[in-house]
Amino acid sequence: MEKRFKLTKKLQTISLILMLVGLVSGVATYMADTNRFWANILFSNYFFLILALGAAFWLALQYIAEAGWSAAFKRVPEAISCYLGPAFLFMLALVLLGLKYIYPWANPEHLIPEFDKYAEFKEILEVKEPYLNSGFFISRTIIFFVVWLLTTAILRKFSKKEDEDKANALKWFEKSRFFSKVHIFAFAVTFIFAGFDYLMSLEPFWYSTLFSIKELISGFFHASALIILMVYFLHKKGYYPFMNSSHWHDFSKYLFMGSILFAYAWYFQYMLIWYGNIPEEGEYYFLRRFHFSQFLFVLNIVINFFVPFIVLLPNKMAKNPKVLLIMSITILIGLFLDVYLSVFPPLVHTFQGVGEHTHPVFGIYEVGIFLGFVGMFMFVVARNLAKRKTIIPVNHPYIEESLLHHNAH
Amino acid sequence: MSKIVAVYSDDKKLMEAADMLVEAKAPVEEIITPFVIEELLEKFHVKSNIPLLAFFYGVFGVTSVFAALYYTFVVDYPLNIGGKPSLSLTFPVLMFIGTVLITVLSTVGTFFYQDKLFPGKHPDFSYPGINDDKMVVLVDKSKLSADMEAKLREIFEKTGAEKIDEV
Repeated sequence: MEKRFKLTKKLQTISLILMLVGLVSGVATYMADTNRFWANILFSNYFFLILALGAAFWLALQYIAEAGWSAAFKRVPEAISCYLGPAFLFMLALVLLGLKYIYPWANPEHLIPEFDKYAEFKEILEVKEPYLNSGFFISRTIIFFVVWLLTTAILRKFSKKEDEDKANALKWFEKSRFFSKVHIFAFAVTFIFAGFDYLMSLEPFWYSTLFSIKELISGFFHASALIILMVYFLHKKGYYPFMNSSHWHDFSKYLFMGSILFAYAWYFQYMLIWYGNIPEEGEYYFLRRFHFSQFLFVLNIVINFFVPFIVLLPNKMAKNPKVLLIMSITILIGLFLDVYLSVFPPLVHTFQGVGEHTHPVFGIYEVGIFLGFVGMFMFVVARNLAKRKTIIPVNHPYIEESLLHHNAH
Repeated sequence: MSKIVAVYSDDKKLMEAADMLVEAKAPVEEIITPFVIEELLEKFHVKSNIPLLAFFYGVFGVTSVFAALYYTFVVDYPLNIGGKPSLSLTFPVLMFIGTVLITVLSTVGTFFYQDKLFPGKHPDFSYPGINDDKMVVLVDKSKLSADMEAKLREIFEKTGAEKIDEV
């Protein structure tokens, strides 16, 4: 039980090679097409940022609900939330250097087609100027990340104190429980604006008040898929020898519930805009469905909702670790598609060689930069997992319950 | 009809007794507890078909609500609402609500039917404390051999039943 996660040479080499691939393709993309480079940085960084935030939310939720079964796995979301550090650096680089390449409100003459032709474009941007200007945008980014980094670091610190201080373990647990509420509140308030800033302001003429809640739900749902994926591999390596079908079943409940929640969020935004039938609002979906790709748009909801919902419905499938592995990989592909459909449709027309018409652009640059981020994410998470003395928490008040977890059905 | 009644007030002792009863293959008729103990169902291999039936009620609910909406909005009386097609994207809202209603009501109905419960029914069995915090094991005496009865009484005594009674 007193096992420590070992950072193997193989894992380090793989992640370093991936990072190198990312670096090379990043430089190549920057040389070839600056707009495309920053679009890819935003895409890949946001992909892992939302997973890190979702994992921190998942962890806080376990504390608030006083969930006993998940106590043994809490190192995994803690390690994932460490990615917020590198995410901050990339976002900072993006808002300091790349703002005028991808955000149309920062550089309307070049990024909005026929900007000079219509006076309305300028008027709308002038009305939104007090919120959408580069100075405020940069300071918002700093505020968001300071809040997120601080709250997740404090949660990790309490968890570390709980391991070291056996006599006062319960006191530190109570502190974590209280601070989880603070974290969720601070996270919810800041993330609403972060969702507006990073993704919604790519289309400055469009707005939806439901946008950020959909992103928040998506982060929670997809982070639980990532946690399951990591737990599966750690279990395979023998770090969680106690796991039984009840643990897998409880994990799969998160995927099942998350898929329904995601479908709900996806549907309410789409249905309300469809029913409202206002051109300014419909623009967002019109661009994606009829100018970009109808197929990808439908595929998004199919692999994020219908596939996990139907596959995880039978009791036996929900308890099978292999099925869960396949499902969590599918759902992470779903997140890839969801973020791709958020970031790329309004930007592809600025890429070189694409021209006026928008159609899906996906090539070696996207794959290379994304692989670089995968490598960095693996490296950061594995290093933070290896830092902790034991992979299974000691002194956690619910650890026994977690190890002996058993559901009747 | 006479029954042996063993009264417990500690669920841990009851679980011990349950293990021994399963081992002795005792014909336990019923165990009445103030809260749900799902491990008991698992130990006595009691299987319920209600989850499967609930799934089929759900499928029935989805199809029937969709059929009703399709008939009223598309076939029988199509209205032009804001220029939207009659086969509307708002159907899922009503389908969801209707499915939940149909599934819940039919599942509860099935449960009552399977347990032969209905409003105003006279209770099958009553014992002091059964509605409070006591856990009760019931065994039908007419099905027991003398051997088995002695064995059962021994099990109940050994696991610390508060009271062993006959009604």
